[in-house]
Amino acid sequence: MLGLDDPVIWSGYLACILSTLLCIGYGAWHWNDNENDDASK
Amino acid sequence: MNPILTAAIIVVYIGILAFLGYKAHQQTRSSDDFLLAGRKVHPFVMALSYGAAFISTSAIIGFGGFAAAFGMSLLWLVFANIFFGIFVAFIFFGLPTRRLGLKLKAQTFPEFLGRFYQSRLIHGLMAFIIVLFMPLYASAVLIASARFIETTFALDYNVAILIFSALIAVYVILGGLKGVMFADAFQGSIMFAGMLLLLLFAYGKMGGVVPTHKELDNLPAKIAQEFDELTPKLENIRKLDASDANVADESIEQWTAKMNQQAKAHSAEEQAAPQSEALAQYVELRKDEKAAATIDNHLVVSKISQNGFQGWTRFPATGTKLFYVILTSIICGVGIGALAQPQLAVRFMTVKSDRELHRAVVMGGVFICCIVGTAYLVGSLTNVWFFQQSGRIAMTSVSDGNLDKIIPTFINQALPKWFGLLFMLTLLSAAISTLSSLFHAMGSALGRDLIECSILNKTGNSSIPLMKVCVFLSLIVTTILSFYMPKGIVAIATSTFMGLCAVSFLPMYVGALYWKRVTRAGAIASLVVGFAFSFFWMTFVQMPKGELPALFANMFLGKPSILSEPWRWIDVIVITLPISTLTLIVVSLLTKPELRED
Repeated sequence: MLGLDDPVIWSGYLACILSTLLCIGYGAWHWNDNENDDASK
Repeated sequence: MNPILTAAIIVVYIGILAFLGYKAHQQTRSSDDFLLAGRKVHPFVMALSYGAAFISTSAIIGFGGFAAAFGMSLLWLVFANIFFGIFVAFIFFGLPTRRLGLKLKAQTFPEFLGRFYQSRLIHGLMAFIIVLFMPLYASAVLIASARFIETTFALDYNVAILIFSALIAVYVILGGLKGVMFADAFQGSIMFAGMLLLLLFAYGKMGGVVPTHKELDNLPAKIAQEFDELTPKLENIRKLDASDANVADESIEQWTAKMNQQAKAHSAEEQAAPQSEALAQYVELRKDEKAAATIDNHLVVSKISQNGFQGWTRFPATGTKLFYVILTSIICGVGIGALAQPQLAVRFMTVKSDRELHRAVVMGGVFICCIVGTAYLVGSLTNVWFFQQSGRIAMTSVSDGNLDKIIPTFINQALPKWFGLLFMLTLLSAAISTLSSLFHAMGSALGRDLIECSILNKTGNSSIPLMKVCVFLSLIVTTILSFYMPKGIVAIATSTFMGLCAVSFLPMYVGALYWKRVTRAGAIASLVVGFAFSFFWMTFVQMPKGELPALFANMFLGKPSILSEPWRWIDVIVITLPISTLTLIVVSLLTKPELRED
């Protein structure tokens, strides 16, 4: 995959991309969530 | 690079930092402003500030060079930085820390845990550890930054340290955490642009993602093949060296390494004739650039292969030194170590609501992926570029095999001149942003935590002038320390501080956020055991990264470690974190539950 033979390395490459997508997806999904908004009360 | 243009850009850069410091100064009225940036920071600023404080110049240059030497296994550190350093940190630590911090009216990380456990001892001990050990880490970052300034601007090293400290002092003392975070966001943006362009340039220059990876994958075989083709010539020269009785027992690599040393000594003497016919012919052979490159590449690769190296696109062989160092010190140590860093944890309390943290996760994840992902990928890929250009791998392309020079050499030789300027600003930003966060954290630990809360037992708002004096004091101590710290201390000081924070603070931090049964006694025991055991491990078993002998083992027993391999390659976090966590659990269960407000 991606020109890399060692599965430990290409899975590391993939894990970086997936974890970034996880951050983007989580943030987008909860973009307006604001439970426990103590400061604004 | 045009010196006038460079100077103009630096002046504008410093001008923007000074302006941001001044703006923050105007908006800093209370101790909440100085210590927590008024708890109303924009998510974009928070995410960039967290990332810029997290990633220093040594992460880009040092670890980038490490990746050039040992390959893409460091991609797992990128994953750990994104997953643990951002996702887990923001969601599982950041959200509850913000809520609880607001409820407890805590203004610093030690105050947060001290108030949660209602313990001045915890508060004071944490501040003491920060005040004692953070200057080591900060001076390591300062040294690395000053070395960078020294080489880039041809300035004296000592002058570079003083200029750097003065520049940071202005906006940290003027603007407090607001000044630090505004400047971080500006610097983080430069870092992001610089590293993104570097990644695109690097893949573009070398022919795209898949072809470059394939070429890197084939490099060890190519190096071995070239050396095999040269071996008959080397064997012929070796025959002339047969007078030495040991020659017959040596492998061709051992003999070549020996001849390399003799050739180096000979060239240092310049006029002297070679001592033997074999050496004369060997020196002649090395005059051919291709042959010299082939020999140097093969010797370096066979040396690191003895420690477990299997190629730049392969993970080190299981059970070898390199395997343990990368897995425990680099991936676990640096990856998990970031979770309990006081200067990072305090940033969770700077935002107004959960919504800001949710939004900051997006920018934080993308930022870290871009910065460290680029540094480690490009580090590995430089081998392809150097090999295409000169037939040499990265480590044999820089003088003395100095890994810190690989990324700057690649930038200077492979990329356009204007990019060199942008990259210089990127590195300057990475250095200043990390240092300013550390100065602010040390100043607040000394002023707020140690003097006001632990010694004077004051619970209300802090005195801003006292905080400013303490930031200044910590800056002076760090600057003085950086003049006296021994050479090669950067990686050791960084790992020591991260390790100590993780093993001493992390279990009780998790306990405070997620375990109702946790007790004050359990937290104190975990803090003391974690600190004491890591001190023992670092002084008797393994200095961080295993580069130097453990101090006391060497001093009292005359050996590098009281334990044999592989123990002496295993990082302190991997051993000590489970022990301090177990201590927290056992002591908490053995002591009386405590009543706390929910």
